[in-house]
Amino acid sequence: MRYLIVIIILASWGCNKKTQKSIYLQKSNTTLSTPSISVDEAFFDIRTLIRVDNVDPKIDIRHTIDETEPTQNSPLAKNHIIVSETGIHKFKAFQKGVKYSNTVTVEAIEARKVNWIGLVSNDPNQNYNSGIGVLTDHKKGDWNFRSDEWYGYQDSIVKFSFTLEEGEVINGAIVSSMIDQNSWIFSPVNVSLNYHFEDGTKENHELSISDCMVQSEKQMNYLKITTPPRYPNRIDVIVYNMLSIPDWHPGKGLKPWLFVDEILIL
Amino acid sequence: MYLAGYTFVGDDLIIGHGDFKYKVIVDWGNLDKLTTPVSDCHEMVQDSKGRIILLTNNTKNNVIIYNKDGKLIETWGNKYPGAHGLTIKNEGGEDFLYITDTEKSFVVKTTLCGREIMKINRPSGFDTADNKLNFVPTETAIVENGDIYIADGYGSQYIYIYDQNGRLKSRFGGPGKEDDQFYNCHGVAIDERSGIPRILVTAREKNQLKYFTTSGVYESTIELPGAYICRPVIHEENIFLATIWSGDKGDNTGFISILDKDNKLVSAPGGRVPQYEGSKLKKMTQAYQVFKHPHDVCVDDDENIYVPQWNAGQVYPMKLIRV
Repeated sequence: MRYLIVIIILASWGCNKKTQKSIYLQKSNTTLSTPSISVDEAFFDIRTLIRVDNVDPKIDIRHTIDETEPTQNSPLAKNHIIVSETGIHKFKAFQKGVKYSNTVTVEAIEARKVNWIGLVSNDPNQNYNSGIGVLTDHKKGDWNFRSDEWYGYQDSIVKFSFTLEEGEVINGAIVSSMIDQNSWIFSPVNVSLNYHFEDGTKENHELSISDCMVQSEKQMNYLKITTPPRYPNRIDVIVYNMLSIPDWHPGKGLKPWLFVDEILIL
Repeated sequence: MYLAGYTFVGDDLIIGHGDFKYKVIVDWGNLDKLTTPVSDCHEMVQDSKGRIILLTNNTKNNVIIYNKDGKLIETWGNKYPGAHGLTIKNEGGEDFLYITDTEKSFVVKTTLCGREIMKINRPSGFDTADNKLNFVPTETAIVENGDIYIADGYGSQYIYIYDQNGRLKSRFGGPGKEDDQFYNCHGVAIDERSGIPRILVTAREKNQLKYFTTSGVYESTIELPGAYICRPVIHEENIFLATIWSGDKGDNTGFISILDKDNKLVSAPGGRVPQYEGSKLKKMTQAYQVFKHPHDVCVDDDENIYVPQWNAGQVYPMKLIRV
């Protein structure tokens, strides 16, 4: 009887003992990475080129221009796409048997190149000061805010002033900035566009942004003010930074960063 | 055209290139999240007994010790909320850990059981009237004579050199665009492959590794365009690096970088096939979303790799089996 109990216990232990088997990542659980898309000039005056770096012949990159998500039935993206109008281009990679990628969104903005002389009310942080020329060079900064295309501030208010050549018609402006909350970079809360005319009169246009919500993804941020056609001889673009980082953020109470890479004229 | 350079064995994905290809175990080291949780998994090392040691900033158990199969052996540590850098050094036959804490701004040396031996706080003597030194240490490396190199990667951008008793000797680097300066000197290691110890420092935002003499004189740079790298891990004749972001620094775009003895990128598990034009590496990007934000690699004595991740949904480390 005693041997029987021992045998039953051992048999029971043997049945319960699980075989440790590793779970390997399989094809059906593999997700394609987002396709590598670049644009020659995100801000262009006549035309620009979007370049599509395909990963592999087995991978299809699909493309939309109507702001809808690309599907397997969307048009195939060629190696490069010539763009001559402002638009939002979305790309997604597909491969049979593998999960499709996240979407890459590229915005190309038509904006005139204007000859103007710029002044800034206060200097940016010394580590993020590449000279005022970057604000009007029509080159889009990349995600690396330390690159030579960005102006970085912790100031509350920054005023960019531009003297225009006589006879320039102005229909508004775009402030191109970045949101990267993991790096403590937030959207401005307000943009003011002031026209100064030759006769001494002024005209003010405002854009308020209620956008200090959590943004888990980094984002390029285009703040656009459209106005009736005007012929000012000077414009001031005043950008208002958030006064302090909101309570939900690890940097709560401290000064947020504001990064601007371009001021565009419409 | 770039190539992803993947293969499948049956349904299993094989990542990596050349001689460095791996299958991915996705459930290695999974533990009960209630009793043994992790937050960010920052770094891993293997001790002299072959055990795998993980450092997390979860103060329920800052240090988790596994066997190579991913079974839990023990845990300790509840006072390192900014636990970030983990280096192991065998001194006189005993293993010691060097932990950096980016929240409490110190480096602590402990035994493998967690007994604190020495603590290095914010270096004094560098404050100026209008600028107080910001000390946020991310990594350590220790040379044979016991000198401790501390990378202040989230702080002043200097590499501080201390002696084995914790006395400050000197510093080099600092923030800036010059060859001997950094934006995010996130990692530091001792490269003794040539027979002469040299200090290898990560310049993450520049996508570079930089060589210095042990006294801090700049020597040369390794360019890794598109690779936002963490600390260099030197194993046999290769350098292994977690690449936390890639390409244009988009979220969840990490992969692993492996350099050969000539410091040329020869394999990028999770990334695209490394391609050179002459001596210049083409910009690297991720190929498959195997990883989100890899933060370190630990190469064990079987040539397998363990990958802890930052900001990846509080997941336990992955293990890559070399094939």
